[in-house]
Amino acid sequence: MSDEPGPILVAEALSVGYGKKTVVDGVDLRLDRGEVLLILGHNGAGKTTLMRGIFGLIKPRAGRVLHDGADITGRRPAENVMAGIAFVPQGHGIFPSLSVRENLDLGAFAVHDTAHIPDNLKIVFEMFPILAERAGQVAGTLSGGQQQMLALGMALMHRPRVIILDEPSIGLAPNLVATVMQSVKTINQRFGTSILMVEQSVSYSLPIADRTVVIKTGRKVYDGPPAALEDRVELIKYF
Amino acid sequence: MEYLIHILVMMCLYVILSTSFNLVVGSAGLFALSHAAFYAIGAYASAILIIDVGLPFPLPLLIGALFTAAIGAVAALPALRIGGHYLVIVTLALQVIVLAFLINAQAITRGPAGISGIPRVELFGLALDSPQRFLPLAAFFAAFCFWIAWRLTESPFGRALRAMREDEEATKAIGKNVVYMKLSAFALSAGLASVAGALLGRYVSFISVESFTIEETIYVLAMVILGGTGNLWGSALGAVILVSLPELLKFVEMPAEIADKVRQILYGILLIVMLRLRPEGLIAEVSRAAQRLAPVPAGEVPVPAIAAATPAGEITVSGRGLSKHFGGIRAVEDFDIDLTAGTITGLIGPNGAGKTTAFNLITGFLPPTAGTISFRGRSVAGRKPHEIVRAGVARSFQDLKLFTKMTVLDNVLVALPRQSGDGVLSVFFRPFRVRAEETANIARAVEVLRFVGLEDKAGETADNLSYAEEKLLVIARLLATEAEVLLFDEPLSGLAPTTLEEIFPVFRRLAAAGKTICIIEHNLDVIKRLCDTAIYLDEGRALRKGTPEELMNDPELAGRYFS
Amino acid sequence: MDLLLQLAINGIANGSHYALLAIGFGLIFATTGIVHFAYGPLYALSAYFVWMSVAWLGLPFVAALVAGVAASTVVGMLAYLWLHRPFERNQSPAFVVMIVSLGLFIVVENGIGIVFGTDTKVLEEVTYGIHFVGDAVISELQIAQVVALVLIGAALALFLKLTNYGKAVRAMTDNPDMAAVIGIDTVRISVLVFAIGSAIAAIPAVLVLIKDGATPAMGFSAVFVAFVAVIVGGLGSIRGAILGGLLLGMVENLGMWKIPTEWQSSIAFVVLFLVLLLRPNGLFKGQ
Repeated sequence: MSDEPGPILVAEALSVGYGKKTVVDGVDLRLDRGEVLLILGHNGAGKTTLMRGIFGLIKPRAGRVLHDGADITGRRPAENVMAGIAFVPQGHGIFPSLSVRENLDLGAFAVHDTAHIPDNLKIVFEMFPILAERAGQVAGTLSGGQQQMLALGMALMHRPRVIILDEPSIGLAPNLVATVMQSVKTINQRFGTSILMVEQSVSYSLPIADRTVVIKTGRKVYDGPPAALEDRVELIKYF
Repeated sequence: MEYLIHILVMMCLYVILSTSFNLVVGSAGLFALSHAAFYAIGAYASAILIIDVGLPFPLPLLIGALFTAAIGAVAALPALRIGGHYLVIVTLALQVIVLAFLINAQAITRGPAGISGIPRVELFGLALDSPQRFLPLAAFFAAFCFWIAWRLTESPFGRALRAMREDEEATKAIGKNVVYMKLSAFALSAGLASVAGALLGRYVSFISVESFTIEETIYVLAMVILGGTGNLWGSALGAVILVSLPELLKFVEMPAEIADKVRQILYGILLIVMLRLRPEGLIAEVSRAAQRLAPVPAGEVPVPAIAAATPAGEITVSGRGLSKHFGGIRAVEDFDIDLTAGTITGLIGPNGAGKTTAFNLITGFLPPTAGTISFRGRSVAGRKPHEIVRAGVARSFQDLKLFTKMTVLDNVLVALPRQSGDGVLSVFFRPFRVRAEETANIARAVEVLRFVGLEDKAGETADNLSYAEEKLLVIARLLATEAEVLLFDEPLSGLAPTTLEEIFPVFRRLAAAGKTICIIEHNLDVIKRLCDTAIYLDEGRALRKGTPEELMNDPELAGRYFS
Repeated sequence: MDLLLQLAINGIANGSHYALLAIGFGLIFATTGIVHFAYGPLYALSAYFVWMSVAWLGLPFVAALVAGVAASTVVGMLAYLWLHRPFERNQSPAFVVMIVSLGLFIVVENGIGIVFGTDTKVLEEVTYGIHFVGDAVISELQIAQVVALVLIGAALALFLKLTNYGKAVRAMTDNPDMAAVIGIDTVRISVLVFAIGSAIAAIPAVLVLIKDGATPAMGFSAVFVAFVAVIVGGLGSIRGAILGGLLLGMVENLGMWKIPTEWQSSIAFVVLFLVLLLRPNGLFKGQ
């Protein structure tokens, strides 16, 4: 399963919405094995909805999602986690009343093969030493940056092959944003994890992206190399 | 035949109960379980006033209604401030305590035996002591109570209620006092329910707590759900159906106590089945078409009126040392801001920097952890959002929060300030004034729509609009509040450049007319072209203030934010 | 003084009863967000089930008790799966869920009345003794109520803290969205808490059956008290539910020192009102 040709994650003409509103309209997406795909777009463009539709938190109303060629459209998140896809939601996806250690343990909750978990925990503590220091602390009392690291750590606990990240840099100081982006790149390079990342901090995320997609009012308006968007004038055209 | 008339009388009583319950559950969207308690209070208060105090008809009924409304208001007030599940438990508790009181306060209520021998109503020398004679009275009150509920839902108050049901935060943001609205709907509903109770006592001449248990509330709830929440004709129909249905059961042979239980089981099943298969009820809520619009004169549309403007150049909103902490997260930290009349200030910075939180602090949606905010020299700390809007500072929302089930015109109409029709008393006691204001307000609303270019869509339901039209409606609704300080949260994100070119003049004209404008935006071209000054916010702090050019040429900011 | 002691004993015993009800109801509410009104009649149903096992089927009491707990658990799970789950899948708004629960409430309450009649059912077979504390009396049943609270409370606390499923429950209570994201099967956890909550409810049901007998109306007051205790103690906190229940029991009984007995239930409302006015988040919220 791991070294097959072809993209690891595909969205085909995916439409996702709430009630009467279609927020994501016929978007095609392709995440290649081992790549970092960056999703950009204005607030309200539908980037989060798209990610949640891919992961199964919202049932898409049209189109398909394929993982390693298998149709996973709209299936329950638990199954995606067990298949090795992790999701880090926007805004500190953690359990605020539980301790740091309990949060991390929950990150591996859906995994049946528990043998690797102690190793994964070591890796997480190595990447984010602050979490080791504060393992017993209640997660809601961590600072914003620490909570984001915890969220990333939780995703790593089951050594996923794909990580979907929704605006990991939100609310963080620039140096922390740089650290987070660096951690994401390290995860990608060290473990070969494919990364699908929504971001709005263009300057920090563009350098680590292999490819970039821009979403505007629910539609894909750009799909190509990040370099072309480095010119701010070009970028504004898509927002 | 007499039995048939009796059924009609009961239908009248239940029309009153279901319509008044629909006001609360359907129109206001408040889930309360005390309706039978109000029914009971009305019955007992009226009976006691007749027998012990000797008041003539219709005084006991009217006094009872006022008394019940007052109790409802007092009991529900703390829960209404909090909302949600609290109202359910408080009204449930009210039900329990009212029944306990009626059983235990024997001196007043005659205890479990109930009150018997209630004298009949005598009109023009005729005692209404049979169903045929009572029916006209019952029908009159049913029609009257229905009319009261109807009048309320069709009034500006009703419109605001529907908005509140859809989005409470947005309703506060257009200056409506949602606690007052909930309280009024609840108290009025309680008063109407008590009328049914008073009539019951006069009709049957005997009342006891058995008629007023929680099961009775569930019975009336079934009528509302069956007929249609939010549609008064629906709940009246529900009453008619569910009063007739048990009569059909009489054709099936079963002992009396079982029959009653079977009846109730059927209501329970009905509730579940209706909600599963047709939750909107038999008659769905009517979506209101646009009112007839007066022809609009051609030519340039003047900027919609401003109230007591501050001279251009003077500071209107001022914040010092504002901070907001959520647990370990410092969303806003030591933030200073001055907004000046006649200028457009840009608030820029990364997502999560605290910009929307700053708006929430300025407009009272969130209390600051520290710091002060003042508007025209007076502190607004601790004021509720709707008070701040009425004083003159209003904001829009990044996630729009339009009233999607209402028309474009209604979205703007509901936001207009100083509507007498927002007050329940005015709706009933000054109907001509309310009607005249409504006509004038419709014209004002159309003006606002013309100003942003949406007048052709006035009759459209808001959820049928395109993305750009939605953004325009957000602007229109904010303008309609006539606030002099307008805080726009990402009003222009995702709009095509051509649309932007059309909207820019709107903002400039508002500023030229003396409004104070602050915009949160990510599109730096917009900031450069629209804003006189800008504040760069990051990690909750205002890191830089100056003209857009100054900010964008700042090397440090370029590294942090501008790519 | 002795009256006060007696009232205190009664307060702790009654409070334990309320606390047990509150734990079951509160666990379901905190985890799934469902206001399970039918919890009351289903609690009553388990009392009737035990009574029926002894009186009609001739089972020994202990076997009946076990059967009662089992039946209660199964019915609770079915109530969620067959009634609430379809609405949850539809993403129905909260008040629809509450009305549906009310529908089940009324069906079960009246169903009990039809099948068993409205007279009070008692278990003469089970008797218990009393003990003296000074001049005050404490019955073995009251001791059983307190012991039940201690054992069940401790067991639940250990379950939540130490087991995987327990952690999943706490995660779902804390952040339901994130729970789904990390792959917790929220449906399975919901079924679990309905099972546990209903099983817990069977214990106070049986104790009340022994003490006062069973009537169809016992369900309403049970769920009402449980709801109030949970609000007073603080939504989402098991500890709060226990303390809320105990507080209600104590206030109700100690209140009888000065207030006539008939007004007992009104005390619950007064306490609730004060709590809502002064501390709407509950008295014992937080950790």
